[in-house]
Amino acid sequence: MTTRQILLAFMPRHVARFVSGWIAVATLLVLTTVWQSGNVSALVEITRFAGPISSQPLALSGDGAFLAAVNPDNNSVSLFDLRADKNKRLAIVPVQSEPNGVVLTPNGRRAFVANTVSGTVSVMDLNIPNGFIGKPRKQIVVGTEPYSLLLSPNATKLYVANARSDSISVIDTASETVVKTIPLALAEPRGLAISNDDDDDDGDETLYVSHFLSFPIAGKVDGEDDAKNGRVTRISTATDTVVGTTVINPIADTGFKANGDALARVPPGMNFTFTTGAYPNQLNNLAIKGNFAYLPNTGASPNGPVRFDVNTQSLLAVINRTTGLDANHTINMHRAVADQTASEKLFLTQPWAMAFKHAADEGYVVSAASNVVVKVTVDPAAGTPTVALDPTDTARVLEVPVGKNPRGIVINPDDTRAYVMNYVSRDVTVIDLTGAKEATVATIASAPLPTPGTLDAKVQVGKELYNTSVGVFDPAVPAGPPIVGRMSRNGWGACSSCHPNGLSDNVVWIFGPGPRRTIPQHTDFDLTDATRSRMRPLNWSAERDEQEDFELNIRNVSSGDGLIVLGDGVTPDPNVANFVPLANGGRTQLTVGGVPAWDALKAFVQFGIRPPISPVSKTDPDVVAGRALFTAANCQSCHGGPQWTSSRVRFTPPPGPGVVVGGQIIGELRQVGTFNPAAFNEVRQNGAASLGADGFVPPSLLSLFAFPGTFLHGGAAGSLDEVLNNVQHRSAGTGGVDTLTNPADRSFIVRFLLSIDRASAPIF
Amino acid sequence: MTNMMMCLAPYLLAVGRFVRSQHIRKASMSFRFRTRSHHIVCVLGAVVVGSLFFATPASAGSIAVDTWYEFGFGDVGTVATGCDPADPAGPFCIPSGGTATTFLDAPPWTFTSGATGSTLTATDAFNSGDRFELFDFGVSIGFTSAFGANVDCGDDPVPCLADADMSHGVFALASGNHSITIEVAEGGFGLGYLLLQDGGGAEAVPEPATLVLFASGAATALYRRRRQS
Repeated sequence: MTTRQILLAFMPRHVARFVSGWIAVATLLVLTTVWQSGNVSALVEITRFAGPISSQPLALSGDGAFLAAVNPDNNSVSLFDLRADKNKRLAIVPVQSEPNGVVLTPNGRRAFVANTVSGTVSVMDLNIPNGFIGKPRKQIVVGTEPYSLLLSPNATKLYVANARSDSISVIDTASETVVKTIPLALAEPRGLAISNDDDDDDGDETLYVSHFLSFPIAGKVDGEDDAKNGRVTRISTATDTVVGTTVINPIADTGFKANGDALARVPPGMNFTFTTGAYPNQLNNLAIKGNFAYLPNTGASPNGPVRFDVNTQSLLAVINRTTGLDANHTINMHRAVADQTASEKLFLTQPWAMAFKHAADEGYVVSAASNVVVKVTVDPAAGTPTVALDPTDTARVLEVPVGKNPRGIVINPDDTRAYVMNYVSRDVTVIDLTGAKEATVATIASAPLPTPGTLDAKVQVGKELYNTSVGVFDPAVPAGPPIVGRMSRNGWGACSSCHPNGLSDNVVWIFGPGPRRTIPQHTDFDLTDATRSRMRPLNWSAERDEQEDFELNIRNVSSGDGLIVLGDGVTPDPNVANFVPLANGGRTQLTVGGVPAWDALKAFVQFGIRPPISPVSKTDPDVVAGRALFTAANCQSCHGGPQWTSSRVRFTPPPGPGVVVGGQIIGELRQVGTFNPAAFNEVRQNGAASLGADGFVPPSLLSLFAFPGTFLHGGAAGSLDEVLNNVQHRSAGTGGVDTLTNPADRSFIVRFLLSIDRASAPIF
Repeated sequence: MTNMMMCLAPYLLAVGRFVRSQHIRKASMSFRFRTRSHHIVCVLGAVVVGSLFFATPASAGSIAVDTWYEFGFGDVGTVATGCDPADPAGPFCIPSGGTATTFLDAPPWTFTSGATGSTLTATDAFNSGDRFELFDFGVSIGFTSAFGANVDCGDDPVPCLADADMSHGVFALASGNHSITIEVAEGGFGLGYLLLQDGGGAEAVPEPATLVLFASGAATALYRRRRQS
């Protein structure tokens, strides 16, 4: 019954018409007043996001009033009230294991969380304006290690990147069920971004998927600065099928010169005249602005000689969305810092995530290792990005300090605030975007930190140091200034630069001994040993016997002052070397909150690195057959035991006489025909012949599937099939008798190798 | 109490004997009820005890006077819960930033009113638009008021109660035991508060459990009178 019909029951027609008209006008006035007062969300539900969307570890509701942020180490999601800068944490909601991505629907009524270890997406009901924060009421099973997720612009579909099963799960948000799984031809889908043409149709968008690690380029050799390229898969949301792949090219000139060229057999000299290139790697995230998509990434410049400013670079690549091609506008953000005239430079190490303003051609990149956010402006026509200078001091790059190890950023719909998720400090930084210069206005705790004095607290300090390019340490004297900047020169490098999440960047670096693929550190200690006291020799040539020996990497690769100090507690101890004369463990160290820095770093490697989970079933008949063939071929003689390598440090450092020969723990090396001194990249960083004739430490097979395309110490094999094509290698366990001549048998072994993870039973 | 022990004794002893002897027939015969009426009264007593036991599930908890309790609720037609962690089945409630409040545990919420009865106040919180129906031992004791304009009274129960646009209600309860549940009548997915205060109770209306108790007492009196005669 209409208002007029009701009125007609009580009054004459003309009076009723007059009264009902005024009621309509009054209603309109009330609605207008409410809308102007900003309370429109109560009346008009937001059903569509504004602008393109990126996957992030934190998410805003459509009106920007509420925020959700994952706490990967706490297995929870925190929810925040942002209204009127309240910046108040409302609740910490437990989800499943290791949440790395979260989204909120535009109306803020539901949250979806990607639980990486559990392989699920949690669904929560929310009505935060009404105080309601529901528990996860449903766990949707997706692929292996779902890392990130995003909603389509109208929230009809949820896309989930399964980082280990190399697929995208498509979830219908109405039924909350997986309606399709899109297989990807490329490994490790990581970052997601989706276009938004601002209509009701979610079937006319393009989904972009970045692949974390880069891929070998045919004809190139590992160790070259252009050996690999990055890839982005494009998916049409009309059909939810792959429509193309964008190749992100290496850059020919990083803007930084080397003083030699190892691959050209030119040893380091006095002059820095050698141009260095870099290829894109660690494509964790991407963001769309206009006709372009932008990918912050860590460029790898592996050719020697080793020096702090010619190894990793801070790249921002650009995709032309119209052509689907690399726009070839990649910039090296480090260069902007190098060019600043002001001193106290802080480089932008490990660019990890990015977000754009909605109404301006301005974006912000988080530097995960340097704990800052840097501003970037983009040319809307050409797509070229430029690192912005500080408007109040144009002698320097604008760097906004945030928390420890920032890993995600979102910007509210009216472009007044940015929110940054800080992984290590477990908090959220609020940045005011309205002033002449962006500034941090609040830090909100997201999840509790470990209790001081516990092993967890020590691991946490280690995680902080592992992931920072700077390092902030306790003062040398009480009440003195903190000691800073010991991890690298000007914040250039971090352990995580080459070991993201403690794993591997899969780059073959031309290092001191020769070409060396980065070894993932989840294999350093025997994870079946509760005390983590059994460790393999470190580096491919067993040149190290302690975690603390990597003090030499901090000093010699990253040009940091290091953590081992003299008795005054601050002066770097010059007497640090591999093996002898002194063990490096237990030396006088800098401390963080009273925790010795190297003890903490070691604890992180022991207890804080999670091996990737294989998507391959252990009961797959091919896997079972491959395991039997592996065992019959006695592969376990080198790759057996709980660490999936036979090698061990079998002494308490420092080693006794005869243990170390030629700088290697000689007894732990195996020569199985994987060293070809004639190979182009078998060269030391100083141009001399590389180390390897004595063999190598058998690499651990634990979770080796996660680092595809580049195998053996120098990347000589591009696949596991190629690894097994080496007869000497595959016959090493059977006294040279080749039991694997049948290619089908070898394929079974490959299948078995791809299945090995922490859930696999070791072979002895 | 003596009477109760007299009633329980045959069962307790029988069970004890059964456990010892593993012989049910011997055990059941070893202690006899004194009379047929004694048996009837004891069975009736057991019903009383049972009704009280089942009226207050173990997971539910009692509530105290003069304390603001926060509860959560889902969709219309569902029963309100407590708040996590007090009620593991409840949502994560946003606590009051002003007046001291506490999270309710799982429903039903029980209490015993004194001689002057009790007053139970319920109010919606945060956004208006929610309305509730309250039940005592499953019997409706009424609805909260109709809500008014769209307002946000915040997380504090006191200003929320004072806001005419927020749905709330004050219910007079008689002396005796009460077991309260709340059902969402309008709105949904939010939080609200309960406040129990002494006095102001309505005239007692016997509840089912009270009726059984009354019947038990009458039967006992009748039994004793018959024995004395």
